[in-house]
Formats: sequence, structure tokens, C-alpha cells
Amino acid sequence: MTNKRWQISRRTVLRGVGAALGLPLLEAMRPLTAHAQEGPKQPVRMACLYMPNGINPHHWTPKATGKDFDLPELLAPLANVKSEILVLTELMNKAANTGDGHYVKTGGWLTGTTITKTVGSDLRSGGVSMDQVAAQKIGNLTPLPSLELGIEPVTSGVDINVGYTRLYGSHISWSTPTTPVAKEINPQLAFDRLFRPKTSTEKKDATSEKSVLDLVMGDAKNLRGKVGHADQLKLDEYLDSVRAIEKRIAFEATRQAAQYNDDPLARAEIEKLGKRIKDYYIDPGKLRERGVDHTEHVRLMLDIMVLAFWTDSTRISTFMFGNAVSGKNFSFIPGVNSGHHQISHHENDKAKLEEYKKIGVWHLQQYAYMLEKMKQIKEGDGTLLDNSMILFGAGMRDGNAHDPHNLPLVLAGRGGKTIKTGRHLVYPKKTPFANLFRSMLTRVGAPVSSFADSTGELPGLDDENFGPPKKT
Amino acid sequence: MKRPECLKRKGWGHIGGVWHALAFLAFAVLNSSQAQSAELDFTKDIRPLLQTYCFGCHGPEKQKAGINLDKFKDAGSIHREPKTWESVITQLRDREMPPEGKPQPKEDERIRLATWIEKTLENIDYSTIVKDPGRIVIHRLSRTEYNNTVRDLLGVTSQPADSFPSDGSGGGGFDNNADTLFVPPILLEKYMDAASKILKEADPKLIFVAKPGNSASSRREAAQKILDEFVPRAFRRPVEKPELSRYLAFFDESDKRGVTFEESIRSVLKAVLVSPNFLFRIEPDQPSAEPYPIGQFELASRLSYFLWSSMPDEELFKLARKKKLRDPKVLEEQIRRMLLDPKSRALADNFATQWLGVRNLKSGTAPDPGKFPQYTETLRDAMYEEVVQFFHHILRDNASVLNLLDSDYGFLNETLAKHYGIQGVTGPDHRRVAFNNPARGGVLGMGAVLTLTSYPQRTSPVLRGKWVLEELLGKPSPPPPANVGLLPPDDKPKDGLTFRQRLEDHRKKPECAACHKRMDPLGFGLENFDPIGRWRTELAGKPVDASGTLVNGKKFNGPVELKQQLMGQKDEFTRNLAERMLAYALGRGLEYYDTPTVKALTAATIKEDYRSQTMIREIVNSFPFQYRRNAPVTQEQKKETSQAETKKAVPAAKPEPEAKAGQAAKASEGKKK
Repeated sequence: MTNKRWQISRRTVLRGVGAALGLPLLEAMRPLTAHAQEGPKQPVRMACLYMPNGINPHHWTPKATGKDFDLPELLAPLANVKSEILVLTELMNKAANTGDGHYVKTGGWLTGTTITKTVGSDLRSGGVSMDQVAAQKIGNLTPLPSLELGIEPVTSGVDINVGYTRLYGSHISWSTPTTPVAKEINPQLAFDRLFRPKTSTEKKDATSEKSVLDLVMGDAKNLRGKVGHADQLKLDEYLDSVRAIEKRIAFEATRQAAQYNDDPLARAEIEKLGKRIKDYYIDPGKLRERGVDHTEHVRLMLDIMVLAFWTDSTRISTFMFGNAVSGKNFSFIPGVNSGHHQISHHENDKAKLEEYKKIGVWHLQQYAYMLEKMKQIKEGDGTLLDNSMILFGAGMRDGNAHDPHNLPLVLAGRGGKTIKTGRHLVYPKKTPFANLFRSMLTRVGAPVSSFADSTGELPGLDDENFGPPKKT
Repeated sequence: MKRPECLKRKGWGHIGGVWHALAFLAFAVLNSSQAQSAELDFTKDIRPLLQTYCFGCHGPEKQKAGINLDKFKDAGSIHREPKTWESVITQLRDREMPPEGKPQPKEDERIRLATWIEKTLENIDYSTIVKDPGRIVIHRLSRTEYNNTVRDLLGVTSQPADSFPSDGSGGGGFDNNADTLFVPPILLEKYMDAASKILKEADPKLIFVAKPGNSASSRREAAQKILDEFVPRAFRRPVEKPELSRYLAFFDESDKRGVTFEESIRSVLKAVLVSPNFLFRIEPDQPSAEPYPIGQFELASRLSYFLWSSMPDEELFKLARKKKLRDPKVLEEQIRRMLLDPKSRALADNFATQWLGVRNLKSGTAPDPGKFPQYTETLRDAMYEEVVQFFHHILRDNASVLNLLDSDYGFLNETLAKHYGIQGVTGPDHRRVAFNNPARGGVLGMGAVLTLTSYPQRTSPVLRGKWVLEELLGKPSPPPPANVGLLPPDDKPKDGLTFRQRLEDHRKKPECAACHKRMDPLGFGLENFDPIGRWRTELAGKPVDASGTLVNGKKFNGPVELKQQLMGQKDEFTRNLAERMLAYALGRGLEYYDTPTVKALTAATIKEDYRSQTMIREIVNSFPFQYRRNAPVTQEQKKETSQAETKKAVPAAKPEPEAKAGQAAKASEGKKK
């Protein structure tokens, strides 16, 4: 894998161009958000990155707490951004300690709830996921309320062993308790959706698009009166989606003059990414088939997310490295011979734990790649990373035991100067993961007074003196 | 030894599949006491046993896995949740419940309980208790259905839906399950883009059935003709004047702006293609508390989406208009005609590949490229194609479905024939080939199945055995307990033991043995096939041991004898297939009230020599396929609607009382307008 870092020269940054990057867009948005509280601050972004199948539990948790924490092998890839992260220990998703090995720990990862066991007729996550709570509150400030990305297509079928539809294992975002939010897995399509400049015909079409949407919305409303209750909910889902597009079209109309796309620095990065995506699809060596460019696929998706944040196309995003029970073959990593899920059942065999660890390290490397990029993008008096909260984690700790205690979690970024990073925080055992959700939601501008089993906001994120719980 | 947590919890999960298995399973151990069970009294003889052994975890205090057996107060109430009780039987039979460490029933108590439940369930007369066609929510076209529908509507073959997010599955495990077909914003964006593209690619002859003159009125007239023709086909039903006039008005607007006639028509049609009337298969409610027959056009759509994964053709529309579709003779003719149409490949391509799991070949874990460089995309596609063509042949030629279990022929192209070690097949096209090696016939000799049930580096007798039980016989096993571990990724001998010996060693653990003794022998029988389905007689320098002993004590050696054993369970296999196909045909998971339908169509199929078209005919003529009911509205649903309507659906999270929630909502309201 060639090293393709953002090529932002020191001089560019010193010239101050970088500092102004976020501005054109904010300018463009002003008429729409005039009544919202919009200080001089940069917007805070939030992403949740999910990895399936847990981690090797012996190489995750730093021995030391506080500032001078060590980086065990799994966290070692984060060395360059150690000052930008918080390692969070002993958080737990209590509701996930039931049901089955995987599905509740994925479908319920960001809802903090127990999913309904079903093969499909009564799909119910139990709650709205925290990212969608944010999207429903502040999503109106950006063209896309939220951006859901992933790598693997929805796993088909139902797992008849455990009686769950595999849908649960393929989604972490839920816009209602019964509606999972689809993720884009194709880099080209994700890129086009965000960045492809409209052709002149398409620009002309925008007017007719609006009238098309008006017409079909009328159709849906007419139908609503003729069908049953459950059918009405499906039509409501349809109507919500129509409204989302209308909103996007409205955004695009107001952004004509000050297009972020016209900003030379962002534009250059967008073009570079577009080219990399093209290269990715030209695959004479059948790399994709061999899994060799799995890394590139992941990096392209993460780069798309970074650019979406940078250009303020959205402030909320989720990413799935893989679906629950992913059997992804990681044999492209030296020393790894197995599928991911297969090796996660390592039965404490030394050799298998080693493979399991290597797969985990690979995931952290991709996370580090993203963070390092965000750290290089200047924004305001800091960096894009400073204005973000990028959560990395899994729904279980040791895959061998499907253990939902002490989840492996890292939170990166300073959340707009509200988080003091560079520490390892240890909480009392079984501290609700949902407490972290509440802290993040507050920082992103979507505070809630309760969330699933939360007992409050997570203390210590901005408190440098926060210490581990005293032993009793 | 502590009983593994996950067995305890998850033993309940496989009720759906157990349901039918029992009807056929010889329950040998319990037979002796069946005679006496009829006289047993629920309150006096049965409930006390439940109280002693079950209520501790599944009673008024605790409801582990959501199961409360205390709520069944009399024998009659058991009929209301047959699935739960089928599961109780299995748990008892497999000695999975009560779990170790809890008081265990004496052997005769265990038998008495299981036998009584079984007997009681068997005696349910479903026809008098429930007659429920079930409820299918309006069905959004799946990706495949969208592709096929625009192909048949407009001659567009570019498969525009391939770029849509993939559909999840539910119910019977198929991606046409109405409940799990969602409409997220990203999909609607794609509908908009796809509609534009489709209309550019569409065959203009199919759209422009009328040409306008120069005047506005003649343009309008032509537009009306075009819409009269197109909209009913797109909506798959007659469309009344007021509905059409909305589309015509849309044309007028566009025409007034001076857009060309063609462009105006295209933008109206774009709205048609994004309309919920096109994207959903709508079945409106009738004012009736009882189940009622679906309309003729709805039946036409059910039929065409079942057999073609596409819209009805002109002949079906014609029959629907003449109200002739409900005539069983007409239906039988139509089924035959439709299966002979090449479009019926869709049934093989969608149903069979999802049922057998073969679709996962293209997205799931692949064989290790280092160890199996032979496994190329070309080979994989040839394997997949074999499954589709074999199944399609069974449908088209009205062959016996038992050919899936065993047959003396297959459908191969050159790549696959070479892979199987068969000479004399040349070229990329698959064709019928007779097998000399009887091990190959049926799905168990197919490369696709053998590959998908292997790990990247080795075969897995466990996965293969599990696959046979689950997918072919419909008897899923409970998931493995945590902490018992899996075997190494490769099949190299270790510590002087062959891989098979280590597997046998592994399953000596009592908590593993119960299931593994059912699964593993079936997989051992397929050990002559390597992880990518090639024939082998040696493994790691030793002769392949493909012998096994089934739970019923029968011994066999190799795939041929294994298949003979499976043929002994051909009726179970047929019932499983019937159940899966019914779920696919309906687009929903089966419920206990579907049991009479499943039983009837299984029996009819068996009676008519296991012919595939008999099964399909029986499905199409069945009560759930031809009827529907309105859904009762529950309190919870009412709440949900109001939440959805007010756009405040955040049950897991309560917004900060005084925060900007109101403002944000207002802002988004403002923009909607």
C-alpha cells in the first residue's frame, strides 16, 4: 500500500488558507441557520466506527492510567496520534448481555437496547441509534443529515440457529426502532453522491426534480388512506426519504455561489480521491478478488468520510468495518490464515490469539490512518480532528466469549475543545456505554436527558485530574 | 461442569425449523408411553412438572429468553403458541433443558411431558382453530424485482438496481421479505437517478405509442394516450381518470415551460417510476374483518413476482381484466406457461440460490487464494450457474424435486467439468452432462455448495453437516456454546492425530456431542470433496475417511451411501422445500397457522411423484397466497404512528427539555415546505 497522505504543505497552512477552509460553506449556510445558535465556533462532527468479532483482550488495555499511558500492541498503531485520543476502559452495553453472541451486540451497539429476536416480521432495535438521534436534531444543518458507510453488503438470510435475521448484524444505525439505515459500501457511489459535480443537464433538471417529488409525495399521501396500518408506516418511511431529498435539493440551490467544491484545497483533495477510486476499480491483478485491496477499500471509505466532514456535507457518520460474524479472510496480513469470525473463536490457543491480534492491529491501523489525516487538515485555530469525535470500538470484547463487558473503545478528537485527550480513563466496572453517547450528543449539539440505560454523562472527558475509581 | 451460557439462552432460537421436523421424526424413545399420554390431565399431571422444572426460569418470576410457560393455564391454551411448545419438546428430547446444575426430571417424567405435548400438538385441528392468511406489508420491489420490472416494462437490461443498497432478508430467509424491505433516503436518491437513466435507455417504441402534432391540444392528446398505456402497466393495475389526470397536469406544466414533448413525457414518466405505486406492490385493505380474496390484478402480481420476480405480462393482465385468474385450471395453465418462459430463471436464481445459501459465494468468505489459486471468478461463476441451471431445469421440466438430493446428471461447462475431472465438455455454456461418478449428483456434489460450506483453508465436516441438516432437512442445530472453541484453520495433522481424529476428540465433550453427533457424520460423508469441491481420495498423505454413523445407528461410507441415507428422509426434505418456497412465494416468514398449508402442499407433492410443478401449483392455489386480511391495530402501533407523524420518534432518547429541540424541529419543518 503506497502512502498517500494529504499533501498539504506547511506553507499553505501558514498562508492561512487552510484556516479558512470551512468558511465558504458556513457562509452559504447562514441564511438557513440564521435562527439557530451559530457562534464563531467550527461545527463539531461525530463518527462511530464499528469493528466486528471483538478483539484479542490481552493486548488492548494500557497498564497505566491517566496521561502517561502505554500503548499495548493493539493500540500501538495510534502512536502518532496518542495525544489525540482517549482510551476508555470498563464501559459496557448492558442490554447486549443477552440474546445471542453477535446480533444484539451489533444491531444494538449504538442504541444501547436489546433487539427483538425475530427472523424479520417484527424487526425492532429497541431504540433510535445515537448517531440518528443526532442526525434528527442537527442533520438539518448540512446537506446530508448523516452518512452511513460500510464495507460488506447486508448479509442475507436469517441465522436460523439463533433465530435472528442477519439484518441486525448488518446495521448499527437506526432512524426509528424499526428502521435500519442502509449503508453505502461502494466507494464510487459514495463519492459521486457527495462530490460529483452536477452536469449542466442535471442542474437544469433540478427544477423538475422538485416537481417530480411533489407529485410522488401526493401519490404516497393518497395511498396512505387506502392501506393498512403497517403499510402506512412503510409509506411514511417513503415520505421521510422524499423530504430528505427535497432538503438536499434546497441546500444545493443555496450553495451555488460559494460551493465548497470551488475551494481549491478541498477541490484538489476531492479530485485526488476521485482518481484513487477510479484506480481502485481498475483491477487487472484481480486484487479485489484476492482481498489484497481490502485495505484500500476501507481507506477510501474513511477518506470519503473525512472529506464529507471537512466540507461540512454532514456532521454525523457511521462506518462498519464488517458485518457481525464477518468471515472476512484476512490472509493478506502476513501470519494470518483465517477468516475473522473463525479466528475470533481462538479457544485461548496461543497461535490463534496471535492471528486474532494481527487482525485487530490491522483495524487500528486504518483508524490511525484516518485520524492522522484529520490531524493534518487545519480548521479554525485547530484541526479537523480537534473539532471531531471519532469513536472506534466493537460490540464485544473477547470474541471467544462474546463478552460485552469492558468494551474496547477509543475516542479520538477534542470535540471542539471540550475533550482533553491523550489519556487512558478507567471507569467503575459496568459503566453504561450510553453515558458516553450522552456526552457525545451534548458536544455535537444534540443533548438528551436520557438514553437507554445511561445514568448521566460520562465524567472525566474534559477533566485532566480524573482518576480511576478507588478500590474499595 | 458449568453449562455453557449460550446453549442455555439460545436453545430456544430454532423453533421455526423444529416445527415441522417433529411431525416426521421417529421419537423412538418416547413411543412406549404414548398410549398412556392421552389420558393425562394438564392440570393434574403436566402443569406440576412444568412448575417443578421450568417455572424457575420460565415462569412468573423470570422469563428467560422471553419464555413464560406459566401463562398456559389449560391444555387448550397450548394451541395458541405451538412454536413455543415444539421447542419445549426439542429441549426435552435433546436434554438441553433443564440446564445442568438445575433439578433434572426423572426419565419417565421427561418422557411423559414431551409425549403429552407432542400428542396435544399433533391433535390440533388447525382448520377449525385458525384460518389465517397472514398479513404481508406493502412490498417494496427488491433489487432483483426492480431490475426485472424495468426490463419488462421498458426493455432496459442494464440492471440499474445493482447500485442500490443490498436488501436484507427476513422471514424465510429471502430478500423479497416485505417486512425487511426498507426505503432509506439513499435508496430514494438512487430511484431518482435510476429513473432518469432508465428513461434514456428505454425502448422509445414502448413509451411513445402516440405522436403529437404541432398544437398544444394534440400534444396533450398524445401525452394522454401515452400515459393511458404506460401508467397502468407501471402500476400493474387499472388506473382511474382522476389519478391519471394528476400526471397529465404534470405534463401540462412541463409543456407550458416550452420543454420538448419527449422531455416532458420523460419527466412525467420519471415521476411514475419514483411513485410508490410503482415501487411498492400495493394491496389495498377491504372493509372486512374476515380474510378476503385478493383482487385479480393483485393475484397477477403475486404470481408474476413469485415465478418471474417481475411484473405480469400482457396475458396475465388480460386474464385479470377478464377476472379469470382465480380459475384453478387457468392458473395451472399459466404456471406451466410461465415456467416455460425464460423469465422463470428468476425463480431458480433468487429462490434456489438464497435457500441453499449459494448466493453468499459471491459476497462471503472465499477460499484462501494462496492455497487455492484455481478458485477464480470464472470457476466461481460456473459453480453458481450450475445450481441455477439445475434448479431451473427441475422447474421447467416438471422433474422430481428429489433430484436435488441425488441425480445422475448435472449442468456443467468446460471450466466446471474440468474442475470435476470430467472430460469432453467444451465451451463456456452449461449443458446437461451425465455423471459417471455417482458421488457428483444432486446439490451435495455441487462445487458451489461444497465451497460455501468450507473454511478458507480446509473443509469443515461440521459446517457441511450443519448445512445438510439446516438447509436440506430443515433441522437447525443450536449454536455452539461459547468457550468450547473451534478447530484449527487448516487440516494438517497435529500431535499425531489427523484432522478428523481431532474433530472426533473435540466432540467428546458432552455439551458438544449432542449436536455434533448429528452434524459431523453427514459432513464426514462428504470428505471426498476438497474445500473447492474437487474429488479427492487422499488427505495429508492418508486415504480419506468418509465413513460415518448416523444418530439412528446406520453406518455409511462416502457420498453415495450418504445420499442413499438422505433419500430415506425424502419426505422431510420435501416438507422443508415446501416450507421455504411458500415463504418465498408469500414474501413473509411462516407462522404456525401456515402449517395446514405446508402439510397439504407437501402431501400433494409427494402424491404426484415429487413433481416440482405440483408444489408450485399448490402454493399458488393455497389460502395464504390467494387471501389476505387487514391487520389489527395494536396500541403500540397507534403510538408509533403518532410518533412517526409528529416526527419525534426518539424513544430511546429523551431530548433535553429546554434545549433547542423545538427550534431544530421548526427549522426542519420550515425547510420541508
